[in-house]
Amino acid sequence: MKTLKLTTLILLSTFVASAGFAQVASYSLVAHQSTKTMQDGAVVNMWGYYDATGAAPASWTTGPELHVPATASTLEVTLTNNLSEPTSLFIPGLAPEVIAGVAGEPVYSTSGSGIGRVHSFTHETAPGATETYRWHNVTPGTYLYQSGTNPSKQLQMGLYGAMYHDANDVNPGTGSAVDGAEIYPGHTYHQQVALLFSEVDPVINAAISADDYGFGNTVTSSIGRTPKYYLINGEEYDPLNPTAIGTEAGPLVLLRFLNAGYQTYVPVIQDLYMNIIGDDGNELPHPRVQYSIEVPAGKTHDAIVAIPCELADRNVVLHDRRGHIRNQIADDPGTTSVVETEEADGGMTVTFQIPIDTACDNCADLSNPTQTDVDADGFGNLCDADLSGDLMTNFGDLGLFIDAFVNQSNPAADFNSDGVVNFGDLGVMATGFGSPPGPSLAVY
Amino acid sequence: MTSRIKANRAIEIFALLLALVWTSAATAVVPGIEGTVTVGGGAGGNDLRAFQLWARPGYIVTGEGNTVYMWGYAQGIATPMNHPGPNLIAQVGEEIRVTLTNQLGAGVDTSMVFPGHVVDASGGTPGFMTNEAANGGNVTYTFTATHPGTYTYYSGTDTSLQTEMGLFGTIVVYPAAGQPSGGGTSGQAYDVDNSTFDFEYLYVLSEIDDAIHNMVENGLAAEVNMNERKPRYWLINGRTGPDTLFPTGAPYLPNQPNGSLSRTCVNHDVLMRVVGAGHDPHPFHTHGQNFRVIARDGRPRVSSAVSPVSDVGISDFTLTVNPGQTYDAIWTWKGENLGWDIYGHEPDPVTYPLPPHLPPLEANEDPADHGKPLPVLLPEDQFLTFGGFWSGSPFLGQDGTLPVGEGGLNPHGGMYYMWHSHTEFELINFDIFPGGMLTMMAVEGPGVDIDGTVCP
Repeated sequence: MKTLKLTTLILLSTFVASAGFAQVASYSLVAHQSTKTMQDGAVVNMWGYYDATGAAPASWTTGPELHVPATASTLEVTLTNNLSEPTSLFIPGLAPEVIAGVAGEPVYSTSGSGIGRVHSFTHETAPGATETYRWHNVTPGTYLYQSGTNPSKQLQMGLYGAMYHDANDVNPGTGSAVDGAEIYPGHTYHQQVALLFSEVDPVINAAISADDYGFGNTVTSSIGRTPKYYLINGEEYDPLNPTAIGTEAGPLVLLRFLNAGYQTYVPVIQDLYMNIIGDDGNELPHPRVQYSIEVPAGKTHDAIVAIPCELADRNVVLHDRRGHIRNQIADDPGTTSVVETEEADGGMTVTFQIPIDTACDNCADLSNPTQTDVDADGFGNLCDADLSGDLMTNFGDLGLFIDAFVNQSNPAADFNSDGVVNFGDLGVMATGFGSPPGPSLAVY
Repeated sequence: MTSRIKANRAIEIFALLLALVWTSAATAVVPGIEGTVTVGGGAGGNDLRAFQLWARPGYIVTGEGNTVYMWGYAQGIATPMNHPGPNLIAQVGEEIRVTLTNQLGAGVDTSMVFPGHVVDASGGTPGFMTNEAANGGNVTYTFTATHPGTYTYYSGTDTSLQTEMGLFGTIVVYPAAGQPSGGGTSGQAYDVDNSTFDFEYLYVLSEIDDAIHNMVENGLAAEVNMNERKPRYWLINGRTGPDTLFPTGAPYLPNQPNGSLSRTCVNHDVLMRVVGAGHDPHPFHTHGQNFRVIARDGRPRVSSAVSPVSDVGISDFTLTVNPGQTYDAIWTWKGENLGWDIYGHEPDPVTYPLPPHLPPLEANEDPADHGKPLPVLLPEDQFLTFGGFWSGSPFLGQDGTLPVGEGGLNPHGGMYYMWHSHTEFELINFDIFPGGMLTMMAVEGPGVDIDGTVCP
């Protein structure tokens, strides 16, 4: 199965199979201090995760994408903490393994007034130390992994990444991973794209990085946070780097939405509708057909888009309709006047590039290699007994068919393209009677 | 410059204007323009419906007396610009052609995008999202209205700033025979059976940070920082409250033609077409009754493609309205289960000798509450304070005595419910209450004429 995303790496998981136990997907990560140079030249302080089996990257990225194979139900991540304060790993929606006194239990700190406050949702990894985190019973879906320690402080530094687990790692129709996969039972996709939303306030990040954050410091809290950079998959929009979709074995593209930020985003996609099928790793009972999707902080959504033939050789834009599409491009901190200009058409924007030969089939459920479509309505003849064009095959169409049968005057009624309108075509109409024409991937 | 008007004076002026111009407020069918139809003029032999819009600056008025510089869409070369842009009305299956002429001023390009539709653009120059028109130029967008529903359009150029400046509008596509044909007729929103309606209303929700508008007006658009935006005005259909309650087409609001005062009868179906158009989510809250969402983004909420009804829409009383998203919901006030007779029927053994001595049921009256008395003793007037919508009587369609100068905003004795953003600080105009994102839904009593529908 091929995956296409903007920057993140795929880790090869260490796969442990024990006789009598479910398979475990194992990863090892390092949490470290890093920086990222933005398009305006500013260098921003970040904290991030990288794969422990490789070298620390020169520049911050979102955490490596973790894949729990379909045959596994446990995720195990060993975390080495190279930060100077405790941290942890937490996955909203999945219960951690709890070992009393050892793992999976919240850690409290004591305030100045003696009140215990939750400091971590789970056991902590001390600076310089290494700890293991496990989640059993991972169910299909898309998940955020993030710091579970003082999240109002640590999460915005960049300690987040995506994890996913599918019901089936091969296309159930063909049995091949090259032809895609199945996220939830019955929901096949040919290609996936992860869209992880987040935002950065460089001033707060600098203060946190310099240990100048909290009570008594220059920046006392994240109240009043004013992000200057809005990112998808840890990157600002790059017009020279569109995301190619519809190039794989078929037209179904799974968009995995995640929001590691602190506010709601509303991506809107032009020219297309999404079938929203997953919410926080829960399969929705009925797909929601929308061109927009609300993604609040911490949310994950799964949506499948079917690329229709009519969009071949076109670019399709997705952007946050809340307008977080202008990132800072110039700042003049050396003067007292704050003039922060921004670029238009940047930020949380993705351009999807659809190739000229995108897969499309005007009778998706039948074999019609010639794709003959006499009335040019997008439904191939073989699945289009709707002669009246009212998107339903019914008695009105039967009347038109009888007329064509008698007069041999309407080639659109030659459903099986054998050169004549006869009982063979009546059989085609009988099969589709009472239903809409199609289904066709050539009709939007 | 802001002129601040004291709240009570604002109510006095408001009541006077309302009494002078009271007809129906928002019309009971959604306002909009229908363009020019050429039968068979579409590429597929379908009908072609053409619209022409001019993107042009103008000013709107806010409820506390301020004016704000906006960018809007005009319907003609010399007519006032509209904010929001005009609602484009079309029929399913038509080819829609929108020609946009840019009059926004030197150096400002603009364009239009139409989510939910596959759009071909011609003219202008290719931009980031679609073809754009330079100042003075034009560009034409063509798409097929393949599905009925409620849709939005907005600028695809520098979208964050240009939608803040006001460049957005709506599209309503009716299914075959779905458009109401005049007063007293019902309509249908989708090809599902439970999308029929007796009244339909459009609610376009947005906000304004007037400091940004001041900068653009004064040539400082390049210095605008959208990431520090802080709205001071909240609007429905381009008006702040209480201007939302003034009639559609009010001549004293030439650039903001659409009101949102809504009216219905007992047990009549109201179609709410709600569109998010600004930058922020708003919890749109309907008092009086739950609504049932039947569609989102122009697609019915159905359990399967062949479902004859919208069967998986939620029933709720608060709708989270996000920018760019559209929502269709049916709201029906039945006056059920209140525990008292909303018409104030009392036993009258002289006129009605047979027990229970009550007059006959009104049309659509809940029989279970017929004749039940109001369960409280209303205090005398000297112990009450009054809102302008109190008719003097708790009963539907009736009024009672009020102290001189009180009331006056409820001439037919209807039940008034405030529909509003439940983010409470959005109910202000530049820190003055009442204002912002609020309007009213009035349930009217028997005999009241709402745009040709007479309540039974």
